[in-house]
This record gives sequence, structure tokens and C-alpha cells, in this order.
Amino acid sequence: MSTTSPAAGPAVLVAEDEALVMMLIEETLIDHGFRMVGPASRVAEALELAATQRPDAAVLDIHLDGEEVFPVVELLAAKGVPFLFLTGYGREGLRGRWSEAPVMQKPFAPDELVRCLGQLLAPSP
Amino acid sequence: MTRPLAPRGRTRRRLRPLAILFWASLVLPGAVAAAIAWDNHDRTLAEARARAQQTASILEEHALRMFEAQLGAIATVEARIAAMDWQQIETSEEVHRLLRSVAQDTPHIDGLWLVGPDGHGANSADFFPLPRVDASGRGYFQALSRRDEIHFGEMIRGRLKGNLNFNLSRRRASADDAFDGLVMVTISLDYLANFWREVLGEGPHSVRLLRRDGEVAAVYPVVDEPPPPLARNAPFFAAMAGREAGTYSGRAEADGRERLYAFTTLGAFPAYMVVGLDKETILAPWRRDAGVLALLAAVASIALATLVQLASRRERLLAREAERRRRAEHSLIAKEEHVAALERVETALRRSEERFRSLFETLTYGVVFQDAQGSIRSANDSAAQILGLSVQEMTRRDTADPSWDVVDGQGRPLAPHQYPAVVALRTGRTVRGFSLGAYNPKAGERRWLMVDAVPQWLDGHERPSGVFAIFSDVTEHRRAEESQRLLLREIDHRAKNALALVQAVIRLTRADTASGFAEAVEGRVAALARAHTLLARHRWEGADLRTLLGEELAPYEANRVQIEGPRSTLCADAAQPLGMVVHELATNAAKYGALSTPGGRLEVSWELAAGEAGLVLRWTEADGPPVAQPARQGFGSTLIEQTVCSQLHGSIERDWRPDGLRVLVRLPAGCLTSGRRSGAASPQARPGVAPDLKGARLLVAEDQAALALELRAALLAAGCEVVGPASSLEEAALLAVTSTLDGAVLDVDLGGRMIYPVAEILAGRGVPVLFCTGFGEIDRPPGLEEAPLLRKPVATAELLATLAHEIARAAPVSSVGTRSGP
Repeated sequence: MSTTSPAAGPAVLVAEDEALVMMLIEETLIDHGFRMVGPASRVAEALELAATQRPDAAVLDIHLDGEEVFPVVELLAAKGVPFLFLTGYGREGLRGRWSEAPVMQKPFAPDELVRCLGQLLAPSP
Repeated sequence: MTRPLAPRGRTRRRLRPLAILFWASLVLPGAVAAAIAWDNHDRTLAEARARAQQTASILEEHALRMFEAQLGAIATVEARIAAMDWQQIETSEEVHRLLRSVAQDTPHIDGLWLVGPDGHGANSADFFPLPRVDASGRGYFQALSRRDEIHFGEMIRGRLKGNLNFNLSRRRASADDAFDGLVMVTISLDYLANFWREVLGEGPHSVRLLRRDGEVAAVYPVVDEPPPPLARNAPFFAAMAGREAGTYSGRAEADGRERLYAFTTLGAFPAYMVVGLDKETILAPWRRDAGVLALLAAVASIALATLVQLASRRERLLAREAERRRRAEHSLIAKEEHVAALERVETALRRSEERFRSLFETLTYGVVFQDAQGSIRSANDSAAQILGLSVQEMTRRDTADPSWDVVDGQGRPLAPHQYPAVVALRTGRTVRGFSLGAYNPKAGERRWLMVDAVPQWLDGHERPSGVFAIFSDVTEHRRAEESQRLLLREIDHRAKNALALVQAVIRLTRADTASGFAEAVEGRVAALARAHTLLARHRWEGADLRTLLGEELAPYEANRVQIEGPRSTLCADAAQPLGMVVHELATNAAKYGALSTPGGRLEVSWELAAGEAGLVLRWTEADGPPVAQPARQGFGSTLIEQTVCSQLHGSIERDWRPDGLRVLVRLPAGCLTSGRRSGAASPQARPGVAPDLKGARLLVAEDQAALALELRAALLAAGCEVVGPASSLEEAALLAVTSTLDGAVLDVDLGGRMIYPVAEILAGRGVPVLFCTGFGEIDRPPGLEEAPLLRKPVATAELLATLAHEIARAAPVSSVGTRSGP
């Protein structure tokens, strides 16, 4: 299990508990020159990664093994790390202050994920 | 109109005697007075007649004396001139003096005249010598010259003196009884008139001295010219007809007055004294008396009539009173009938009222009546129950009171002017199917209502007089809808996740040929589908491990594959990943391992371990081709490793032994729903010992952070795993749906919303539920009536004991069966 990818592109923290999906994300990221941080399949793992690593962006499933990912979101937001949610619930799964955050619906098109990440990573005007 | 209407005839009949009396009272005094007056009239006239006769007698007497005196005077004169011839007489101043003195001495004598036989005046009392005057044409001369002794003359105007008088003359006869002139006395009419006036008194009475032939000698009142003789048809003649005295009445031609006459003959003189008393004057006192009498009669009539009138009025009053009583009796009867009718109507109304009241009271719909101002006037029991307020509390509470805490169907605050009842009052239109939420203080929660507001009208009013708000409690419907919505969302979520997995399979699968790719994808998607099917069969609560393995390995000959292990149920989250792992292992074995050759065998066995390593699964291949560790890790291997380590948080050891691949998979207890408890003692198994909740996965829903932390700490200390704590309904619902759980501790009110949808999801999954609440008794949703309820603050020991009891009670029989498994 890789926690870092060899490429020196932007580092993307991935929190996803579904192995198959996680693998698809990983492949997509690496194919497009990103470096994957993680993946984390539990909130605790994601929190640890978010705290110890310095990702450039994050792709987060909302539910990780029965837990909600929002503590991780708080931490990332505090660190100024842009993120997007990747969830089977779509925007409906979001709530509170995160209801307007960028979100992608599962199943996702890999190219779309790349495009969104590109937007997240683009220097804000 | 005060007279009674109906019995008029009767009243009139009753009043008839009084009417007679009334008319009698009017007529009788008049009649009596008239009779009296009539009598008085006659008497007065009789008296007047007597008086007239008396007067006539007095005047006759006086006239006779007067005539006697005159005749005496004539005799005196005759005696003086007896010896004288007419020459002497004519020339004798002495005779003249005599005549004058006689005339002057006798008041009633006006003059004395001596007339010769040839008719010329010889001497007189007033003139001497007497101017030549011829009297031969005079009636007295002619009468005396022919035969009469004495002549009573009619009224004439004197030629010399020019005054009116009448005379009495006496024939002078010579010795041979031849006519020899006459002596005449003229009588003063003034004297007579004065005397008569004195006797008669004032008044238009009359006196006449009438010669028998109707010539008037003297008359009173005085006249200017000698009146004509009395007509032969005058009433006097009819009355006197041979009588010496008598009375009669008649109208005087001179002045037209009615008089009562009395006449009497004047002794031996061929004359009558006629006295006429003026009837009007006579009757004046009578008239006066009669007037007084009439007045008295009138007064009496009026008095009597008034009396009768009073009596009749009294009579009428009495009659009216009697009538009134009669009517009152009638109306009393009518009233009694009316009252009875009213009572019947009232009874009917009351019964109807009662029926409606009973309907109103027993209706499951809440009904509230508000007046035109929107104030609550009445409400039924259902309304009180739904709103959690007594009827009194409702009527006291203002519409704008914030305690209602009214929200619309979407949960947004609703202003009082938007309330359906207020809208219905304002617009006069019925509002139907308005959905709103109101806070029920008894239940301590918001209740959802479906409201109809029906305005009420009084006849002729422009604005509604009030409004009925009719509502039903749709809280349960909404909860069911909510839970259905959550489930639908969850299904959608799962479908999306499944599609995401299929997508990943397609994306990640590598193959040299198209058919190889298709085969690989099909195999993996089929593995996913099998796990899904298995989970769906058990309501997504878990999957039997043996069945899962059996289905994955079914394509291979049963005699080459051995599956052995205690009965274990995988939790929903673990079934699909583990199925995929087994699929990858089997695919590899079929390609490169024991299942690739006819003689190869596979044995899959497992055991349940205590502690973190809940499940140990052994994969042992034998009698296959010789194997070696692959130089490069393919997709399958990566998938197996990622799934076991990352997703299931287990570990995997692979040993490529020459006689066959051996794989050891350890999975945490969390992957099983029941297996771990098979080794743990239940409270029933060890009575009297503190309940053992070690390893139990418990969902905690509590929105108060401090309580949540405390609860979490207590449960962790008891060895439980805590899922959550969830602070919102959505969070709790998601956890309830997606997590493997042994039980749940739920705060009833989560951020102002009831936890029931979540509790129902849990109940549907067979997860025992325990409620905590700060409120009193609550209505538990269907299927959860038996769920225990603990009141805050919750004692930890009680919480743990209750939880342990509930979990033990809900433990499936299969967990016991594991011990006796193969």
C-alpha cells in the first residue's frame, strides 16, 4: 500500500473506504501526474494524514467506515487545503457549512475528477 | 285602540241598559223642565189675563168717573147757559170764563165747547171771542142733531187747537125737544195716557178706548194721527161678541206685537176699555225662569249623563278586564302550549346539539373555533391532545403568542397573519390542506398538522363571524415519509456506490484480449452482484460467510473445494469486499493455482478468535502446479491487499509454497455481526455479574455535546465501540443505515426534531434501541412500544444494564448455533 507516489506532481489526499473506488482514484491521479497522499479508509487515518502531510488538495468520501469525514474537512479548511467531496449521495449528503463545497457524484468520470482538481489547484484570482 | 277586538257584540249588548239610562239622563231633565216651564207658561198667561182684566176694570172705573165728572161739568155749563140764547152765549165773556175755569179745574178736561144748532162754534174755554168755526160736519154734531142725547166722540184733531182729543157731548134741546145746539167736553189724551202708563207700568202694553162701532177714542201709547177704526174682522169683535168683559190675544197691527187683551164695557157708554198686555213682557220672567230651568235641566242632564258615562266606562273597564282575563286565560293556555312546543324544539335542539357535541368531542380531528378577532373560543379534546394544551390554555393564548412556534411545511417560521384560520377570516375563503408544524409543550416536540380552515358566516354579515380550524396530526405520516425518504436516498446511495464499484472494475481491469477483458469484468461484477444479492436476502443486515464462500466457489467442482468453519455472519460492509477478495483468490487459483489443474484441491476454513482479530480465514491450495511469488503485482493482488487492509482493516499473509498458495486473512471483529459474541458470555449466562458489553457497537445520538462526550466515555469504558455520536437526525439516520450496530442509545429530541425515523430504521434492522429523554412520558412509534426509556440525567449503571439486557434479548438464535456448527 503506497502512501506516496513517485511522481513529483501536486499531492492529493484521498479518503475513500471502498478499495475498488480508491484504486480507480489512485490510477486516475497517477495517470495525470498527481501524487496521492493516502489513501485513508477511516476518519482517524485521514485526520492523521491531513495533520502530518502537506497535501495540495483532497478528495474525500463523506462516509468512511460508518464515520463522517467532516472533522477531516475542518482540519483541511483550517490549513487552507482545497478539497472536494466524492460521494454516492451527491450534494444531498452535504450539510451545514459544507453544503456549498465542491462535490462529485459517484460514479465519477476520471477526466471530470482531474478537471475539478485542476480548478481547486489553480491559483485564486 | 283599547277596546277589545273580538267580543264587541257582547260588550254592546251588555251596555244596552246603560245606554237607555244615558239617553234618559239626557232627555228626562229637559222633559221635566219643559213640563214645568209649560205649566209656568200657562199660569203666567192666566195670571196675566187676570191682571189684564183687573187693569181693564180699573181703567173702566176711572174712565167712568172721568166721564161722570165731564157730564157734571156739562151740566154745570148747561145750567149756566140755560137761560141764554145763542147770541148771548156767544158774546158772554162770563160764559167763557166759566168754561175756562171748569176746564182748568178739571185736569182731564182739555176744552169746553158750545156749539149752536146751526153748527157754528159759539163759545169755548180757550178762545173768546171764538173764531168762526163750523162744526156741522163733525160726527158728534150730526149724531146729536139727529137724535142722541149724549155722544161719545172718536179721536179727532182739533181745528183750532190742533191737538188730538176725543170728546163727550150733550144735546141741548129746546122746550119742544128740538135740537138746540150742544155742549162738548174734549178730553185730554195726555192726561189719560199718563194715568194709564202709571197703572200699567213700563212696557209696550196698550190701552184703547174703543167705541162700540170700532172707532178709537183714545189710545196708549200716544199716536200722532187718529188711528183708523178697528176692522170688523179684528179679533176683538170675535172675542167681545155680546159679552161685557173678556180676554183674547192677538197681534197688534200698529206695532206687530203679540198681546194679551182684556176688555170690558164702559158702563152705559157705548164703549169698551181694552187693555193689551205685551205678551213678551208678560212672559219675560217666565222666560227667565224657563232659561234657568233649562240651564238646570242641562246641568242635570250633563251631570246625569256624565254619571252614566262614568258608570258605563266602569262597565266597559270591567268588561275589558273580564275580556282581558278571558284572553289571559286563553293566552295562558296558548302559552303553555307554546312553552311545551318550545320545550320540544329545545329538546330536539339539545339532542342535536349533544349529537354534534359528542361528534365534536370524539372526533379524531382537532377542531378549534376562533371568533372574528381570531381568538380561540372553543376546542375539542382532540385539538387539546394534538396541540398539547388544555382548552383553557388555548383560549387564553393569543394567536400571536410565540409559544405556538408555528412553522410551515418546510419548517420555516410562519407569521400569525399567514395562519390558515387568519387567512380564512381575512379572505372569507376556505383554506384546505395547509401543512404546518406547532410546538406541543406536553410532548415536548413539534407536531405536524394538516389544517382546513372554514370560515363561518352569520346571515347578512359581510365578514366571517368566526372560523373553524380542523386539523389532523400528520406527524406520524411525516415521520414515515421522512424515513421513507431517507431509505430511498440510501438506496440511491447504494446504487451509486455499486455503480462506482462497477465503474472501477471496468476501469481497472486489464486484459490482453477483448474477450479476456470481458471475462474478467464479468467475473468481478458477478462477484459484486452475488454479495449484493446475499445482503439483500438478509435485509442488508449481513451475509452468512459460508454461503458467501460457497457461491463464490460454486463454479468449481465441489469435491475439490472444501469449505469449513463455524457459522458466522459478516456485516453488510464486510460482505461485498470479502466476496471480492475471495473472487480474486479463486480467479488466481483457477488461472495459476490448484484449481488450474484437475487434481488440485482448495480448502477454505475459518475460525473465530477472541479480541481484535475476530475472524481468521485460511485459504489453502494443494495438489496444484508448483507456484512461485509473481514478479509483478497485478490488479487482482492489489485489490485483495487494498480491500483487506484498507477497507476491512484486516491483514493478509500470502505464502507461495511450492505445494500450493496459502493465504491467511485476519479480519477485525467489526466485520462480523454476531460471531464475536458467540464467545462472550451474555448477561443471562452469567447472572449477578455486571453486564458485559465488551465489543458491542453502539450508535449514540445526542445533540448536547457534554452529554454526548459523557455517554461516549461511559460506553468506551465499558468496552463498547461507539458509532457517532450523531448530533443531527440526518447524521443519525445515515449511521443507522450504514453502520453495523448492536444497539443504539438515542436522545428523543435531536436539535428540535424527533429521533423516531432513525429508531424505526434501527427497529427495521433488528437493532435494539434505548431512548433517553428530558421529557416525561412520550408516545413511542409503532414497533417501538417496548423500547426502554431512560430519563435524563441517566445513571451509567442503569444505562449499561438496560443496554446489555436489550442486546441479549435481541441476539439472534444463530449466535447460539455457531457453537454447534460444523
